[in-house]
Amino acid sequence: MKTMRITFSLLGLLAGLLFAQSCSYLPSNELVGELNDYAEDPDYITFTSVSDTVPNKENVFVFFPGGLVDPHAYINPLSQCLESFSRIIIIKADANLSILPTPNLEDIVETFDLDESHRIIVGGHSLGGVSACQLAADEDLIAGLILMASYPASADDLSDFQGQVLSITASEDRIYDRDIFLERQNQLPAGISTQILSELPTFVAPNESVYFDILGGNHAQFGDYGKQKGEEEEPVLSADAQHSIVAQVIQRFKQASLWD
Amino acid sequence: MGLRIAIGICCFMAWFNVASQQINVGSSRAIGIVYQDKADVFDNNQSYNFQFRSSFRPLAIGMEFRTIDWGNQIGISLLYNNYKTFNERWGLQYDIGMIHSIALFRPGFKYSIGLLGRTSLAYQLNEKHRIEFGVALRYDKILAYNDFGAINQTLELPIHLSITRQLFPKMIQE
Repeated sequence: MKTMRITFSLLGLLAGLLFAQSCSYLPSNELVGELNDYAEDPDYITFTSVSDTVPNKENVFVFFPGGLVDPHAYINPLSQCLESFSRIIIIKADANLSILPTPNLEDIVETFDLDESHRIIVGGHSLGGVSACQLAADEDLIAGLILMASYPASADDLSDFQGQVLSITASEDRIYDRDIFLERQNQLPAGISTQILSELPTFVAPNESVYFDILGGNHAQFGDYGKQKGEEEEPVLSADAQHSIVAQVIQRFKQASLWD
Repeated sequence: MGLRIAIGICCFMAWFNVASQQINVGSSRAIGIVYQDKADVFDNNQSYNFQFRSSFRPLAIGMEFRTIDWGNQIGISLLYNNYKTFNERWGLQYDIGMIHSIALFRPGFKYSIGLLGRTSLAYQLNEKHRIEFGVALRYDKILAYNDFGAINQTLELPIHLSITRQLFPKMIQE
């Protein structure tokens, strides 16, 4: 009995520590502004652009949140990107971990009634970017890939990816592994790097990448969930400023990729 | 915070290990049928539970870890439970009760409550062990999540598989 008691107590300790590592970051701010056609179900959060100017093809952005971050924490930052996309779809993953099974592209296409008139761009923050890369590696329908503080898993080789790739990082990011990030650039199409908005290319061809590093930005501010453990210092750039820069970079990249 | 949770769980297990006669360990997969006010079929993830049952009173206290629409949560279940034997091998286990949970969020946990009714077919493997397979009806609500997401309640049909170990078989026979 004594052995059993010790075993269960140790199991309890292990379970407790495991559970304590399962906490998700909640949004730190309430929703700013009104969203058009906002809808939420157990698998997705979606909203659309209010713009009257509908391009020839509607750009749909499928976004995977970072690991253990509540998906609602991306609504505010992504709502600033509605000039680039007519619809934004945020994937709600099991346990807030997008590496666990999430809806596949077929499910997304069926649920949102997407067809040839839509251009599908996938993206993600941190761990979510890994899932976005997996989806892009498996599916030909995807026109572009947008990574935020992320890189492909070692198994996903996207060097032949036929869409455009935008990879945004932040100079004060203390969470992601910069060495692996640099190493995994081999698994993405070749491209250019810059830290200055005006130096972004005016044309990006298919199978090309653009790397943009936000000076003073950090990891958590790609979302809207305050400070992330491991990144306790006050960021140089405010969250609002980082969201705005991300939106501007995406807007310029969209124009350069001729996604109009 | 993590250390406090770990110590709490450790004490909980040690105390109930002394006070109980049966241990049940299981897992369930829930099929969601209603979220908020909308009827729909959706996959609502996995739960793992650990339960201590009294052989003398129809009571069970347990712990569970589960994923649900709003994230991950750990809970303490307080259940009325009973077991009816059909013959020496087969029986029916049923539980009904409440689950008090904390949804695991940063910067602070949120309280969530669940109601559960479950019935399981049980097969006695040997003197000490039996396996149970059953279905349940479960309702969960997290009021504090109103500020963040549109979904703060779910109704589900979990499918449950577990194994029960009798800790003191000789005492029961006496």
